[in-house]
Amino acid sequence: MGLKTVEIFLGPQHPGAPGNVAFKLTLDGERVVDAEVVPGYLHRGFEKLMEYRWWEVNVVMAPRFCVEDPDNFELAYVLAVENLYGIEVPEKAKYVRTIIAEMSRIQSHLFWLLFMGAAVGARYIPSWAMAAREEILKWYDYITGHRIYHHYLVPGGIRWNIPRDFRERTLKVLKFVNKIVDDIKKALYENKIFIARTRGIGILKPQDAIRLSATGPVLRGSGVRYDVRKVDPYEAYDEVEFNIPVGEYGDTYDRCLVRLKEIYESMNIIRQLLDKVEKLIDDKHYRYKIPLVAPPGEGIGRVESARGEYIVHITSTGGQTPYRIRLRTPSMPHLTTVIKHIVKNEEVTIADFPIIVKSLDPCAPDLDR
Amino acid sequence: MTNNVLEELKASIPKELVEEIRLSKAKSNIVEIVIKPENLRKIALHLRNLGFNYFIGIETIDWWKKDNTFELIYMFSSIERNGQLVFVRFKIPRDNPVVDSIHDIFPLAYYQEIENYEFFGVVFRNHGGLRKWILEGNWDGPPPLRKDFDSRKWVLEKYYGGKRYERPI
Repeated sequence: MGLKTVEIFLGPQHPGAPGNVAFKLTLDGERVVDAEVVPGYLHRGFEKLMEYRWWEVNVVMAPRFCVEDPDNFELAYVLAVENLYGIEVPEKAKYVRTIIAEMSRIQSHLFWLLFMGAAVGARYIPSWAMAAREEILKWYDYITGHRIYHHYLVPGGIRWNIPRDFRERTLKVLKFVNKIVDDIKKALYENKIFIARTRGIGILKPQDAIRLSATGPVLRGSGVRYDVRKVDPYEAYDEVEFNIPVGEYGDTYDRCLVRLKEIYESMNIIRQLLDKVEKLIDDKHYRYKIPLVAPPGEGIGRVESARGEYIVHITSTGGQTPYRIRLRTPSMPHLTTVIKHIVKNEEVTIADFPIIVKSLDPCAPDLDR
Repeated sequence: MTNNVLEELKASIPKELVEEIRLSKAKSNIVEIVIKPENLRKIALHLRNLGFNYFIGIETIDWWKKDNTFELIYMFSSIERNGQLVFVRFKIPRDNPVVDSIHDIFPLAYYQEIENYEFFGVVFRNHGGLRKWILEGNWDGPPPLRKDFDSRKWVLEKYYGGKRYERPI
């Protein structure tokens, strides 16, 4: 700590902070030389709380530490429980769950566009992204009965059957979202100011991304073609065709571009699956009931959430509640090792810092849990 | 694919460092390596050299009533091998939970180790930064995720005067 450096606290109320998390920044003039994350503002002890609740009741807990991408988190827990019980879900439930999870990815990326647009000062982007997300929330309300946390995926299938106009309704939402995302692409990604503020800053090289355990769009933005949906397919992902978009330079712009392309890929996946669901629309077989007491053993759920690889590891000693649940959430590496690496290896000014942090799309509650 | 990895790990890791290499009972595409705690660093280096250079996380399970131990599970993956997961697991005594730190081999382990320290009280040797992190400033009790800590009872005692719905427990 030299005489010239000064320590400041950024967050959790600061508009540049990514949600309920703070940073202790060490500044040398304008340059950020070190960033230490200060978590804990949203710690509720999910791993302990889930140990006291029944297997099916825990579905309500499972998504609640990430507002932005609840269904992928729910899906990982449900997959882990099914792995423990050793059940295969009905075909219809498999397709519907994949659609729900992909829709969750789209709404999460749209929510991220709100933060990113606000960080670069593009004031019109947040309202457009929210308008598109609102349509998805209404769609969720229609299908599941809830807007934010849906509890629709349950161990053994889906909670209730889908409505008969599922396909039309979904296609209508996708059409609306597609139009807005096209507009955002033109208005933000081709905007000179946006490119000037994101190109060439916050560079993360592929070998560093792997060494620092970056996951999800951050890893893919660095050019590593890695996606759990491809390498360890769960649900219906081995029956659909999709690309894994990757970046070229690993800078902030590439990470933003990967997320935009992923929105299009997700819509593509949903369109493919809608045809398969349509064939099964009269099928009444969508859910198995699971017994109250689980067999002893272990269960693993591994999904690609909107933020990266998410693993749920359940240990059961054969009771009505889990013995231990480990939730390995994707935001921890981005807020700790990755951001530290970036500020140490290039000249990041205090003005660029929020942009870089938001391009990593961290979800502070999933670090705290 | 997984079987090839299993055979390769069996062939390349020295026999004296491991107790057992097997496929996971839960999911057959995960390889589990059971080791003695003192060999952790050697195994971690071995795995990194074999391409398992993508560190995922550390899990602690408290086997309080069973055999008074903590079971630690280290999760590694490999991007060049199609995301193959490897779990390294071992047990340490619950009264003296000390294990070597691997944060100089895998940077994310630094923070995962802090998390396991504050929630379970597992001490990581040569870590250099063990402290309260997520719980900083709002917790002064025992490590909360241990099995002998009953959080429901603690809440009733602390906030409701030892009563449940205004009746004694």
